[in-house]
Amino acid sequence: MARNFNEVLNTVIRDSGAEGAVLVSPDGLAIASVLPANVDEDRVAAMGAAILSLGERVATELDKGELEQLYVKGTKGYMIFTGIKDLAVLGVLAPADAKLGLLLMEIKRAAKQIEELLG
Amino acid sequence: MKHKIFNYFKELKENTLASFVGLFIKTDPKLVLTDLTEDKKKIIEDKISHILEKSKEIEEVIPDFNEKYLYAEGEDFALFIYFVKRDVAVSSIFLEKPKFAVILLEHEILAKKIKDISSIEDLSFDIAEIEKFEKESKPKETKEDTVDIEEYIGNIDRFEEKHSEEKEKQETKGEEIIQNSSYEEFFMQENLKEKEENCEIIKEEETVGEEAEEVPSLEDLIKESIEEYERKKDLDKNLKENIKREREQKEEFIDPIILEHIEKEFVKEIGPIAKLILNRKMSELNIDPNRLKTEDIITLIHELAKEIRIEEKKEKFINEVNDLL
Repeated sequence: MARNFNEVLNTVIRDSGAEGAVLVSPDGLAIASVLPANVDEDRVAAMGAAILSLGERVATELDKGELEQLYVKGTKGYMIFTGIKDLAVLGVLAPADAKLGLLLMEIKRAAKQIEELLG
Repeated sequence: MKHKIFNYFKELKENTLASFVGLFIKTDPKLVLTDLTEDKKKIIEDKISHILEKSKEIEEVIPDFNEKYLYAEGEDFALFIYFVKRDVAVSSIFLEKPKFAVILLEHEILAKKIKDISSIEDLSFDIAEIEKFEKESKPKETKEDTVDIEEYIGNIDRFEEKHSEEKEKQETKGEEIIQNSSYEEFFMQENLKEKEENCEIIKEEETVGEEAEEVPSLEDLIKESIEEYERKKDLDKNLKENIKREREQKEEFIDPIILEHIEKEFVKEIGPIAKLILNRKMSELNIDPNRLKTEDIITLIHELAKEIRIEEKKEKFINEVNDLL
């Protein structure tokens, strides 16, 4: 199973030009990851799950259901967290010059594959 | 300056149709404009403060990340936070899925305006101030119009009343029913009476030697006010149309030349059938070459890539067209 997840993560990195990806459980623990050497897997996992859950709380307060995606842009790049139902969170790190549209499309595709694997 | 900042935020709220816009210094809300109830507002402020706090942790994972913005979206909800400076952020909430590019653009415009305000970190707005600014920024009520129209309706009612009274009287007296006066005649008579009354009042009020200004007839006033009302209605309609047009213009379209480049790359990988497939996909996806959007191009690329069976070629195609974007 982990191998399958790694394959999906590698594909999303290759097709979208991302730098790394991590699959996180809803409680913030890393399931699988393909990250640059200097990035701490556990910290990315915990932080992604935390911010996404805070965003979700805002949506819940406004009776707007689930949050699908959250992205943070910095001068060094993007961090994109995508909720895969309530099964997991897919986090992708991308450089600042990444094409956001393409990135989001590839992430969507990867999220669907992960959902199938988890389901 | 506070009033200026307030207006910038009001403009942002109106332009983006946000349900909540707020200025946060560090993690504290300093100015919030929202349609939400007071309770909800407090909760949302609190949650956004938490998100701001948490988002600072990214710097711990990726040093010098320097956040620019944070965007979260659900099916019919979106949250946007734009980091103007290290401790200054603008947050907006949308109760339907907005166009991300428009949101980003509007926040960038606002950020440019407030970035150089040196004392912005020390700003604080109290409720009374916000209420005062709200009042000042509200368009003046068109009370005159309302009164005039009410007056007009009142006059018609009075006319109908008088008309039926006269009819009854004539019927009871057994007199021949004389064709009654029209609205215009009735109003003229009424105006005359009113004019006389007005003139008397004016005469009393005016100092000796000064001539009374000519009082316009009620009919003219009614006509004028209806015309004015129609004019304002047209203006309002034009304004709305202009805003809509401006918004549409903001959505930039991509030069259709990109399609030629995509076709060229696609031909390299799949051969001469490429043009046929490209045209078919374009019509299947309802893509108008003259109104190309980034999403259209991305979907098209995705669909075309599916047609390339050899994985290496597919990858090469994606990489090449990726550069075009």
